[in-house]
Amino acid sequence: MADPLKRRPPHEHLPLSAQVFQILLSLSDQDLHGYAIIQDIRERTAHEIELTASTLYAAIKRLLEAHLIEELETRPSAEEDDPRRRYYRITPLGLEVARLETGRLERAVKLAREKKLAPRRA
Amino acid sequence: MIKLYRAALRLLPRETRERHGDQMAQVFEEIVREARRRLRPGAVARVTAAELAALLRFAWRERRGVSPPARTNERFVSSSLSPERRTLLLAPLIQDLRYSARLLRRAPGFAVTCVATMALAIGANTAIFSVVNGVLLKSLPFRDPAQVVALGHYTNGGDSLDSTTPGNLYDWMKSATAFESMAGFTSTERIVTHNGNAERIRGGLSIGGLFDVLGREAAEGRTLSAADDDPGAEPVMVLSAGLALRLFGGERSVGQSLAVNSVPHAVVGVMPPDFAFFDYDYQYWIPARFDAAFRENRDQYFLLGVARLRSGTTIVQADAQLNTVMDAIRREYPQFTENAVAALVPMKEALLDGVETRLLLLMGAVIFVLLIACANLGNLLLARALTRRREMALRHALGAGHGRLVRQMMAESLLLSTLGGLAGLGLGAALLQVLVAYLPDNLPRLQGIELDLTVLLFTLSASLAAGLLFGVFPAMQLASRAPMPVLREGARGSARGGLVRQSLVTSELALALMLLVGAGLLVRSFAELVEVPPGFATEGLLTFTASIPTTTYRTAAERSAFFERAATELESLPGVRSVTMTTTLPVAGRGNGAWFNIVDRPVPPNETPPGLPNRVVRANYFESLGIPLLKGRAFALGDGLDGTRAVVISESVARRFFPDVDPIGRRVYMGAPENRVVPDSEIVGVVADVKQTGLDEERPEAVYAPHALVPAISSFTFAIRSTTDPAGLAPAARDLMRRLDPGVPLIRVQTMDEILGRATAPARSTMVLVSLFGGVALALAVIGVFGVLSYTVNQQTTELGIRMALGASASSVKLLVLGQGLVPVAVGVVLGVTGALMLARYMEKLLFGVTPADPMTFVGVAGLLAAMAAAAAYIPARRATRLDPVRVLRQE
Repeated sequence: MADPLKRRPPHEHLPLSAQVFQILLSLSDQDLHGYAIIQDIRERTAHEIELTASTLYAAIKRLLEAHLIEELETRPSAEEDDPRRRYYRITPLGLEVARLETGRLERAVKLAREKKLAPRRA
Repeated sequence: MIKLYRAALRLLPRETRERHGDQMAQVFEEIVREARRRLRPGAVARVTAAELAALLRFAWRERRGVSPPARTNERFVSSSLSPERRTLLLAPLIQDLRYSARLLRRAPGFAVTCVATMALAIGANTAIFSVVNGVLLKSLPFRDPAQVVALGHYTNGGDSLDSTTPGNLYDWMKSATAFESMAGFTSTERIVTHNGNAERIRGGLSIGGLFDVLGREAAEGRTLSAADDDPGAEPVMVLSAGLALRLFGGERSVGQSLAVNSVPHAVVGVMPPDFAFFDYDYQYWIPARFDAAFRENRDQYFLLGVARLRSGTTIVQADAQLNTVMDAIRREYPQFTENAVAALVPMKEALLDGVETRLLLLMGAVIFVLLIACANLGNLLLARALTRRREMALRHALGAGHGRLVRQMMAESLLLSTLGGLAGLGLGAALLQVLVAYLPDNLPRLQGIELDLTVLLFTLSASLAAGLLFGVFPAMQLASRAPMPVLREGARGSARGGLVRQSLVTSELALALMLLVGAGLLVRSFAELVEVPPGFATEGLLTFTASIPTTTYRTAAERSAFFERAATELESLPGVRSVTMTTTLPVAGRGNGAWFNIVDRPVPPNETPPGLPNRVVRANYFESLGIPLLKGRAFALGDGLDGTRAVVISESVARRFFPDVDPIGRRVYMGAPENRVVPDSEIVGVVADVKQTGLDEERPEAVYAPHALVPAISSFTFAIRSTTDPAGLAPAARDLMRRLDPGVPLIRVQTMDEILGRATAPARSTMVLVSLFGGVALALAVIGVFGVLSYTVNQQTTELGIRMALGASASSVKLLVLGQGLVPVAVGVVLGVTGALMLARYMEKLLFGVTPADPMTFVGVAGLLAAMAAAAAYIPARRATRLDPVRVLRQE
């Protein structure tokens, strides 16, 4: 496990890969288990980003080690079907990183638009 | 799919796997489930492929311990190996592979042939190895499984472990010090009632602390302890995971109660799903709770001991120590144990009970197929390499070293074998499904068969080894040649590499011949086996076993009344010609046995009488099953306890015990003097032998007693002879039995044809599989001969053209080519016959009615192979005679 002393300031995590950014987005307003994250990302991005179990957990492992997300000890609701599932929650640090990344992307888009690089409408 | 993924998860470092592996597998499972729901063809395959690729990347990164640099933006980028470094390390390999891939893409026919051949061979190997791995190699699911041994006796010098008596087992437990712990068990079949549903279910009786010896914990609740085996203890039971699920669904089983033979038993535990001991059919475990008197019993052989060796003690030491105890027992009770020698074997051996030979034979067969495939591919590659000799020579002349060229050739063959291996893995997984369904269901540890990591590693190494093997010939051949002569030679070819090619053909023919001899011997054995007359009329028989609860039917009169009434009512069903009953059906097994005592020939003191199988049958048994009466009379209505006490013996019993005298009228009884299974009776008849344990039985002895003589029997197997399809009678028979008593369950409802099919199933499946592999081997070898000879003819076009121009006749050219082709065939046949003679000895155990050196098989197979090879050689030879010398020479 990563040494908490080595916890790095939020801006050092940037830029995020598209998958990691989407995982943080999925967790930004709800605690989810692995497969729910994949489904959420798939729906929000209209199938543009489809994660495999291995990409998801490779990212989750890194995110856990970087303290951007944490694993929940308790489960959110009792009506859940499968007790083996583990749930993940975004940390304040994770939220901050996601915010910074959003800002970075916004600036990038703004710069692109100034160059008249808006996507064509179909 | 899930299993494959779980196996692949092992690629991850342990820590990562333990932390996330389960979650990953679970998520993958849901992804697959959803892909299935989408119902788009190939969806599952696509997500699996994507998943495995992603997993490989993940594992690769984790394994190399790529820790993110102190300040990096690459943190979440997929690979952190710098492009420069990657190029330095892998450049030549990647370049070789790319080059090979390009070459292969330009020769798709060649590539597909190679990959398909490889896939076939690797697929067969993967499937068979999965079975070998699951059945033979995997360790048993116990603590320190190598220390666990089974104890019993070797009787008649046989090599399979026979059971022992409670008396012996308890003495061993008390006195044998070579063991850390010892317990025992036996099979039982009891009526288990739950919610009013009665079922006869097979289970195990545990004696002493069986589960402590095995070292297994329950999944829920507890296992049985030695204290539970106390005769005064409360009746308790432990369920298999399967039975618990079936009876109680998801509910908690511990704390429930089940009636076993009408006695309530508290369920104290449920075993894990992978727990299986001795027999996968055991659905529950009950302590035997023998009373003090029965623990002294020395004439009922029905238990096996289970013990854990003290660490550091060898089997041999333990055996010696056990037999010291046995010697003392023999001195004390000579009348019971005269010939008894205690024996112990590793538990795995006891479980496998002789299937190794079959499985190793199959494994050998598929390895032969793989070797033959390698020889074929070696030839193909060699031929192809020779057509590229100018290219190679040029590269050599331009400065590429031998090593470089060899590496290029090897890259090509490795690429082919890896592709073939991957395709073979898929094919193997599919074959395995078919194979598991096809293998006889009495194969031990059938449930342990799966495509796991060991199998993956095997397939990977087999593919790589095959690639090296078939790649090495062309590579060496080619790279060792000096460039100048080749360049000078021009487009004209000579038949270089001829010796290597011919040896390859010779060896594949020899291998194919050995495999075909094996297949031939098995086919002949099987033909002999099914030709064996079982000794009775097998057509139109429906059979089932009915057992009555002894708590309801307490007296012998009540029991025999029930069975006689059932038989009489079954006889009145439409389509039924006759109904009979027996305690053990023919071919179905040895069944009960007891000591056979001839009253006027008492055994000398300190000796035990011989044991013989005994059957209690309905009076019409011989007539109904069509067993011929050889002497005396069959059973009649007046025979029984109240009338004539009569028994009938089989021909082989008469021959063994009354070789010179008439057995009719002799008085015999069965069992021990104080415990007579069949009371003093007179032999009234001799009937023909009927196969009891299987069709390959050599001495089918049996002593028959009429039901009226042994009326207390509580379990009978009915045999109903029908005038129509016997299986069609089953529903009516079930209804009738349920009407008579719904508390009497029917088990093993099957036709005699099904029983006979099962008796020959192991022999049949081995024969079919080995023949199948033999067929593949034959096809590959014949293709090999054809390919090499065609190639040689092509190479010799000019030479043949000149010969013909100089006046050689078509037939002499044909003979020349045929001769070239047939020399390796002849050598291959000679080598193959020699090899087969040496190897067939190991098959002796599997053969029936033929010797391992069966001349008919050898001559037939050698002839077949030679004929096929000659036919394959004839086609190119004939093509050679059609050459037009003028056109050939003009090409030059």
